[in-house]
Amino acid sequence: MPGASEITHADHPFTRTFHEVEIGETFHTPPRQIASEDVAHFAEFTGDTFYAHMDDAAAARNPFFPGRVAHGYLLLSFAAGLFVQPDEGPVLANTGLDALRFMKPVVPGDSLKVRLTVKQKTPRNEAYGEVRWHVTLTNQDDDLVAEYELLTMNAYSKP
Amino acid sequence: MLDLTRFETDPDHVHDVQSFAAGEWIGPDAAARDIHSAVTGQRIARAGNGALDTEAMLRHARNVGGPALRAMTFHQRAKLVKALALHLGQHKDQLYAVSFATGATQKDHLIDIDGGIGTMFVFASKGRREMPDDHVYLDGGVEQLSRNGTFLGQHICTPLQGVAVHINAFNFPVWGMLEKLAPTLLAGVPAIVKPATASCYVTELAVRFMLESGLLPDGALQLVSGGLGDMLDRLTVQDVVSFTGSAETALKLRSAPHILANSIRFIAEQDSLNASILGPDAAPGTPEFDLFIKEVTREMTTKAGQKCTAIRRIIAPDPHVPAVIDALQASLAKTTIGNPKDSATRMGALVSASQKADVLAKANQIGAEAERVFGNPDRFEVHGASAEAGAFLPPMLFHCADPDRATTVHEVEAFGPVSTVMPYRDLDHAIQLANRGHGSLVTSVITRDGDVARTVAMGAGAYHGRLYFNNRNSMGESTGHGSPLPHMVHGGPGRAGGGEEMGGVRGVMHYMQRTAIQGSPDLLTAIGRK
Repeated sequence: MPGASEITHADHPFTRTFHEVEIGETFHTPPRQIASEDVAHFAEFTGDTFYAHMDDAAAARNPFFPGRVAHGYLLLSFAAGLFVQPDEGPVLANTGLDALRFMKPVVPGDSLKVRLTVKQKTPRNEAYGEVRWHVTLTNQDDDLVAEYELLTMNAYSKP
Repeated sequence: MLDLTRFETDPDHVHDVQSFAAGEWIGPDAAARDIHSAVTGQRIARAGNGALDTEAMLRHARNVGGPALRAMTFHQRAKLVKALALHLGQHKDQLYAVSFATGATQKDHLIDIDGGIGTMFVFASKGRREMPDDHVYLDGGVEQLSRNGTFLGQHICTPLQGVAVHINAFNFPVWGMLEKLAPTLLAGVPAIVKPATASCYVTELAVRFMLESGLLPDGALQLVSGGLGDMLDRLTVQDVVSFTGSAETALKLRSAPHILANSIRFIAEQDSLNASILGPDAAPGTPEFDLFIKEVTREMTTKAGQKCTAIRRIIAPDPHVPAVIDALQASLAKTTIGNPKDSATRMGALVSASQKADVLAKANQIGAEAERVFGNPDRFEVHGASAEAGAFLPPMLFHCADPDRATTVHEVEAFGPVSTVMPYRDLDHAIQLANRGHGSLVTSVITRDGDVARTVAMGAGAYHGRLYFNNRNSMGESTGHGSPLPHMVHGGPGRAGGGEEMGGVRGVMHYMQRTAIQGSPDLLTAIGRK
């Protein structure tokens, strides 16, 4: 529920089992600055060379953008890089992403941080269940940049 | 317990159909009614007890069954529904065996028994996938009621704290029970099931299997075989009546002052004057034309036409009416009528002699406005059974040349293998005719033309609970005009009762109360656990 009190734990939520994580449990990442080279590299690497990411003047003629902006998918990828805990653990798989919205463009020089909150838990079988996380991406001014619901399958026990 | 070695075969044996009331099996008393075999006319059973303690049954459901079910989460109740379905599946053969006496064929049993069990599986799966492993169901998203987000809104649903009384029709003694029971149990509400007396021995057996499984909490399921007595006058605001049957009976029950004065939920699904429209593009010689003939024939003869979704009105382009009649005559002529136990039989008997008499009387009324072009009730062949002793009828096809002036063909339903062909001038006329059912469960349209489909959806949607479109591309996997599906709503406006059953989680909500919750984010999180 937006605005509800946050519950924090010392451990990263990805190290906690399905039954250990609780509704409202929240994880905040440190910020990461987006460089102009990041946007160029992502465009070249993925092939997504849409003009808004390549051409400052063309992007500025678009009513949505102040100039050249970062790819929305780059923001999602950086977000994952910020919140993921890389070790083998109770999180088994990323199974989906719902209700994604990009609210505010991100330009080179902006920085991005992520807030991850456990929204809902649904047991699936005798071994694991689905965790629905509410994810918000904010910039250096705490403006909401993007919002979505992330789905993961989490084991009842640690490996 | 029903004695399968003597039931129906031993002329001296009359099965006493029991009720299950407040934890006890209770047999019939002097108030019982006789039940006759649809096939032989012999007395095979009796049901009814005038001294049933209806208040004790309601109390047992409210005080014992309800609290036990509400203590479970949606997922636990979904698992219960699945386990019951698996258990019934293990006893299918016995249910088939007793069902022949209702006049139904093995193919009909698949619709009733396997269809009922399949419906439970779908509800169990929906409960696990679409509802939380919790006690509160959240309806829709959070509403921002304040500038700073410190005061929010959220709709929730919680189980009713009373009992669901299910009044079922004779045509589907198993499916009719299970399509209501699955969403009721999933909601967390106990049920009292009252099957129609004519086929209640099949329901009794299915209820026995479910109770003997030991899966159900005490008080979750009770059975009234015979009359309900004064039960409906004892209901409260926390109870629900879910009714399937005739428009006349629904009107009588739902307009009782006690029901009205207490706003007791009354969900009605009534048989209606369903139609099938042959699309303007589906001329003779197209796969669509053949599909239309096949669907109409199947709907007329399955369950001997005793289906609330059966096609009663066959609406075809004026120039194609002779071809439609010819093709239906040829197709209906292949209907082998006879003993439902015989595998060669395509159509069995109606459920009872009184139903047969009722269908004949209604067919006569239709005959005043339409010409009978197939089927003579005084002269038809019955294989392996006596046409006089059993409640047999042939399929009867009528042709109404002037459907605009006619009224009976749009209003009188002969609940048997009876249907009327009528011509339309253009698509708007076809829609007008379909809507003259004054609210129907279903209309089917056989077309490949997207504009035709869109025009019918816009013009006839408001009069129908379901529109079924079919053509050569979908016919291989289509589910049939007459089959209500647990995923889709089943019901219709007006004449069809104004109810809406099933439709996945929508059908569960009939047994729950939606409440608007307003408060701080922390309180809303505590309530919804989300």
